[in-house]
Amino acid sequence: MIKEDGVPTEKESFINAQEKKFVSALQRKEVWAFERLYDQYSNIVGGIAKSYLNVDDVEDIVQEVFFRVYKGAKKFRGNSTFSTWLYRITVNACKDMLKKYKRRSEKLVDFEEEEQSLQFETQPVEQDIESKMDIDLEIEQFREALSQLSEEDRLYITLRDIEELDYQQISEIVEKPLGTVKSRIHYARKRIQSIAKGMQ
Amino acid sequence: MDCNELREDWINRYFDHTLSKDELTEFRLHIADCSDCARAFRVYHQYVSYQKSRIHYASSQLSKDRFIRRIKRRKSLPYQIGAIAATFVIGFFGVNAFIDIHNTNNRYRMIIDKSMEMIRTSETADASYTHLHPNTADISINKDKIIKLLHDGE
Repeated sequence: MIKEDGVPTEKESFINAQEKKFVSALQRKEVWAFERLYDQYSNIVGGIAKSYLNVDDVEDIVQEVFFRVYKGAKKFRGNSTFSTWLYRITVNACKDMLKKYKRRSEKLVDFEEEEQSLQFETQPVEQDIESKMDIDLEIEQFREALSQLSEEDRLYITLRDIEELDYQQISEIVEKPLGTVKSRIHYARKRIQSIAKGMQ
Repeated sequence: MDCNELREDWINRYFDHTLSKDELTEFRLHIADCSDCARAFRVYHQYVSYQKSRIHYASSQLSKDRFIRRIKRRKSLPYQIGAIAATFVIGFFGVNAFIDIHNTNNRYRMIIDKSMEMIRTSETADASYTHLHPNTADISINKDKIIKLLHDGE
């Protein structure tokens, strides 16, 4: 957002001022600001949640993320960009959801109610994806590769290669050092290649 | 650059957009010649495309409305709590005031009853006194007035 000499351009200053205005409206809990927030970010929040949790139905988690923003907007101090803060909330909400599901799943298995614990399995994806790509692997193999990756690896790949965020921003979102983030992404990419290699 | 170097480092740098122009040319030439490296590169590329399609999320107007309704409810919550608290406080003090008035009335009623009883008791004594001393008969008339006043006050 800021030039190398540290002085923001006119356009960047305008964007910063707009963001400040938007954030202060969120902090005043103005409804129009939350409507705009939902329109602007729900797709990305939903995408991150889908990737991290490896499920298709993320409606509840999206609602939860925005409600957390509503409750905690006043805590945003502007130390990072608003989007970084929002993505961090998303990741934390996903982690909490995952813990909750794991606990519930353990409990259900204890009571031999495995049927309900299967709710958290990957749902089938749209079939037209296959037709969009000239692929080396089958869709099933990609799904299999996905399930072999950890939640965090899926998240790193999503943030870096799909949302195209820079390493610094990812480091702030996942609250890990920059070096750790770089090596985790490098590792995750290699892991996908080796999983794919094993499948061929 | 050998195959190992390309798969260990250059593919990673390609996706990070950190290859120089010359390196990019070299990378493309190698990929064009080496089918194994080309496959490794393509697989990751396809994985990203697959994941991009898979995680695409389009939020509905319905879920947006649900969220807005939820925050509106939450926004009005302090007012609702305030209204409930005010109702409770008014109710509490209202009942107390009612009980106080009721108790005061009972107390006055008791005082009046006692006074009446005392007057009646004294009437018997006065009658005997009047009989013995006829000049004091007007005292009993005053007592009648008092009893009437007490009744009116009640």
